[in-house]
Amino acid sequence: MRLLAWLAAAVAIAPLIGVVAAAFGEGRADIAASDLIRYALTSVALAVMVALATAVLGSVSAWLVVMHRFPGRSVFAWALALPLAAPAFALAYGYADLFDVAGDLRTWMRAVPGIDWGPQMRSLPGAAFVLSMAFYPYVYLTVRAALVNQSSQAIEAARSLGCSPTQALFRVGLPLLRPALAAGVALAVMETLADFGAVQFLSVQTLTTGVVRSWLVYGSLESAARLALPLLAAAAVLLWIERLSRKGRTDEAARARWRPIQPTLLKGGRGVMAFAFCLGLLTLGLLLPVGWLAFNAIDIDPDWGRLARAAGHSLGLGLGGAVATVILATCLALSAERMPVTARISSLGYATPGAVMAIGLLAPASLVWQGVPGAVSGLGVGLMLLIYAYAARLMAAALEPVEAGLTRVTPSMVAAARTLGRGETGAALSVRLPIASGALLTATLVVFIDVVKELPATLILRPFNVDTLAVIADNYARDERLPNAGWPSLMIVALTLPAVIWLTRKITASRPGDTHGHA
Amino acid sequence: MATPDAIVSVTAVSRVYGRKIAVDRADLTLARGRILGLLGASGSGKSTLLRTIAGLEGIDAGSIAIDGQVVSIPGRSVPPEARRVGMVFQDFALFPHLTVAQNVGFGLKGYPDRQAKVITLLDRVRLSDRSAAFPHTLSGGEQQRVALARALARDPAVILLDEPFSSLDGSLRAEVRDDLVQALRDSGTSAIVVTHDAEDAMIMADDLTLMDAGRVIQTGTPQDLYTQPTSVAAARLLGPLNLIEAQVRQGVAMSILGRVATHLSDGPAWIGIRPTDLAPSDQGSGTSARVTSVGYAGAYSAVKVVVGLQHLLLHTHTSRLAVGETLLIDVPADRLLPLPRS
Repeated sequence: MRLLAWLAAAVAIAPLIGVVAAAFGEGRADIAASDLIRYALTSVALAVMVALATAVLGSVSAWLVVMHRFPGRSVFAWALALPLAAPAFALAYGYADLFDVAGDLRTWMRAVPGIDWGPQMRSLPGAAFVLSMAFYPYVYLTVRAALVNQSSQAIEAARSLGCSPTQALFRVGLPLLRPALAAGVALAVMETLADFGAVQFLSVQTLTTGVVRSWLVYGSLESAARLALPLLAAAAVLLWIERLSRKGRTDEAARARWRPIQPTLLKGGRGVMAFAFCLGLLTLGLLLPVGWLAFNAIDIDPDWGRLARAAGHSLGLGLGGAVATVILATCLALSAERMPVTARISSLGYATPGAVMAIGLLAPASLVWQGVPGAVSGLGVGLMLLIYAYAARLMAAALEPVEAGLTRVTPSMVAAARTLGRGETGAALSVRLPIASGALLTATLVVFIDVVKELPATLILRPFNVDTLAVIADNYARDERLPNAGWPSLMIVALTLPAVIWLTRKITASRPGDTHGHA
Repeated sequence: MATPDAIVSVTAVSRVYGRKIAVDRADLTLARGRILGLLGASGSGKSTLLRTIAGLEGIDAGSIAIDGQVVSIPGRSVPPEARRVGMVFQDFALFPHLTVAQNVGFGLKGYPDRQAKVITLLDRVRLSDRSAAFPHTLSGGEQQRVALARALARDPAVILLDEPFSSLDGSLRAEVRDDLVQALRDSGTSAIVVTHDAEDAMIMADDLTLMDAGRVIQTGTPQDLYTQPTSVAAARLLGPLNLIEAQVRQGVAMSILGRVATHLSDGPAWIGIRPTDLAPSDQGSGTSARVTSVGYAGAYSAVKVVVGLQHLLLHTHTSRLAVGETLLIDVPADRLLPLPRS
C-alpha cells in the first residue's frame, strides 16, 4: 500500500518537475521578455479583479443565506453553488454573444429605445466579470461553511461584553471569517489563473493562453514551460494560503462547543432585496448566459454524430479520470498518517493550471513517443497520458474529501480490526474504505465534474481524433460559430449538473459534528 | 520473567517516543484466569503498555510473552492479528457500518460455526434482541457489551480493556462495571483492565499493578496496595491522602499525629493517612484540631482542619461541624502509612 502511495505522489509531482526541467532545458525559447511581462501583468490584473469581485459576491451571498431568513433561502443555499456546473468558457460564449454589437440584443436596443451601448465583453473587465460569475461559488461555499460552523457563543460572548449586534458582527464575526474568505478567494484565483477557454475567447492574453499557444501554435515546449514557471510559483503560494487558512478553521471548529446561529427574519422590502440579490447572482452566474446559449442553439441543427462521440469521450474520460484519481488519492490518504509530507507535496498539482500540467507531461511523453514506434498514433498511450494529467492535476481535489471521510474511522477502529485478525490491508478493505465510501463517491464526482469541464490539458494531450465536448465547443467558438458552440457547452452542463446538485445539496445539508459532509 | 501459570509476561519493557520514555523497564505478570488492574494517572504509560501487549505498538527494550510464546522483542513483533488477544477500546471502536451481529462476527471470518457463535456471544451479553441494530442506536452500556462480545469471539488468551468506563458516567458506570466483571468471570478469560480510577480498579481486579511516569511502582492485591503502599505516588493513586512530615529514627517514624514502626532508614520521611481513617473523637481524647472548612458531599462531609501548622482532610459522617470550631480527632496508629521522602 505504501508503494502505491509513493506511486500516487510520483504521479502528481512528476509533471511539475517536467515543467521546471523543460524551462531550464537547452532549446529554442523565442519568447520575448516583454511578452512574458505583458502576459504576467494581465494575469495579475485579472486575478486581482476576480479576487475582489468573488470576495464581495461570495461572502455577501453566504452571509445573507446563513444569517437571515427570506423567501427562497433554502433553495438558494444550494442553488447559489450551481454555476460550478458550467465551464467558464460557456459563460464567456453566452455573454459575448449576448452583448455582441451585431447581436440580437444590441440590434433591438438600437432600434427600439435607441441606445447604442453595451458592455464590451472582449476586454479585461469583461473577462473579469465572466470569471467572477463562474468562480464566486468557491467563496460562497467556504464562507458559508465557516458561518454555519461558527458557534453563536463567540457572538454571544461579544454581546455580553457590551457589543451591539452590528458591533459583534464587525469585531468578532467577520474577523473569524477571514481564513475562510482567504481560502475561497485563493481557490477562485487558482481557477482564474488556470482558465484558458474563457480568456482565450474573450481575447485576453494571460500566461495560461501564452502557455497553450506557445505549444499549439509555435510548437515551442521551452517557451511554454518558461511561461508556466510564474504560474507554478503562484500556484504554490495560493495553495499555501489555502492550506494555512484551512488549518485555522479546523482548529476553530474542533474547539468550539457548537450551537447554531439563529437566523434573523428579513421582513418586507429587505426580504425582497435579499431574494433579488440571490436570484440576480444565480441569473448572472448561470441562468442568463446558459439560457442565452440554449435559446440560440435551438435554431440550429447540430452535428449529432460528432456531439454524441464527443459526449462519449467526455463521459469516458471523466469517469476514467475520476476513478484513476480517486484510487491513487485513496492509496495516498490511507498511508497519509505515516507519510504526511508526501501527501502535502502531491497536493501541489491542485493549484497548477491544466495547461502547465500538460506541458510538464510533454517531455516524458515525447520520450515514450520516440521510444515506442507507433505510440504517436497509439490511442491507448494518448488516453493514459490524458488521464495521467487529470490525476496529477486533481489529486488534491480528490484527496480532501477522501481524507475527511477517513477521519470518521478512529485509530481505535483500525486497531480493533487488527486485534480481530485483519492485517493492514484487510483493515483498510473491511473497515476504513466501507466507512469512507460516501466520501469516495464525493471525490469521484468532484473529479468527474472538473475533468468534463477541462479544456487546456485536453487540447494539448488528447490523442488524434479524440474530441471532448469542451474541445469541440472551443473549436466552434474559434470559428465564431457560437450557436454551434452552445450545444456542446449545454451538454457539459447537462453532464455535470446532476453531480453538482447532488454535491452542493449534500455539502449544504451537513452540519458541524456531522462527518458525512466535507464542507 | 515467565512464571508457570502466567498468561501474559511483560519483562523489562521500554517504549520510547523521541526523547519521551512512555514505558520504562516495566514488568507485569497476568496469571491465568485472573483480572489484572493496571492503574495510573493519565500519561503514566499504562495505555501504551497495553498497546504493546496487543501488538499495536512495538517495544524498544525487554520482551513480552503471551501464553508462553514470545510475541515482542525490540525490532520484532508478532502483528496484532496473529496474537491471541482481544481488545475493548476506550471509545468501544464499534464499526458504524456494521450491525451488532456483524460487529461481533467480524473476527470470525472463515469460522465454520460463525452464526451460532455470534448468537451464543450475544446471549451471554444479553443483547440477542439487538443483533440487527446499528451501533449508534445502542446505549453506552450496550455498546460496551457489544465491544466485549466482539473481543471474546475469537477465544483470545487474554482480553485487554483500555479505560472501559471513561465514556460512561454516574449510576450507569457502576452497573456497567458489575456487568462487565460478571461477563469476564463467566467467560473465564484472563484480562488486563487499564484505568485511572482507583475504585474501578480495586473493585474489578484480583491483582493490581500501579504505574507512574512510565514505571511500574508496585504490584499486589488491591488490599495490600491500599494498606501497605511503598511510595507516596502509589498511596495517592489508590485514593486521597494526607501527608505529614515525619522523622525516622531506629525503625520508628515520628510525626505530630503519632509514631509508627517502619523499615525506612533514618532521616526525613512522610507519614500518610487517608481522610476516611480520620474521625472526630467521641471518647473525649485525641489530637486537638480546628475546623477551617466544611463541604457537604451527601454520603460524607469533607472537613478541613488544622493541627498545629499541618492541614488535614477528614471524610466524616458527622455533619454538625462549623468553621472555627475546635475538636478532637482520633488518629488510629495502625492506619498511619510510613512513606519514603523520594
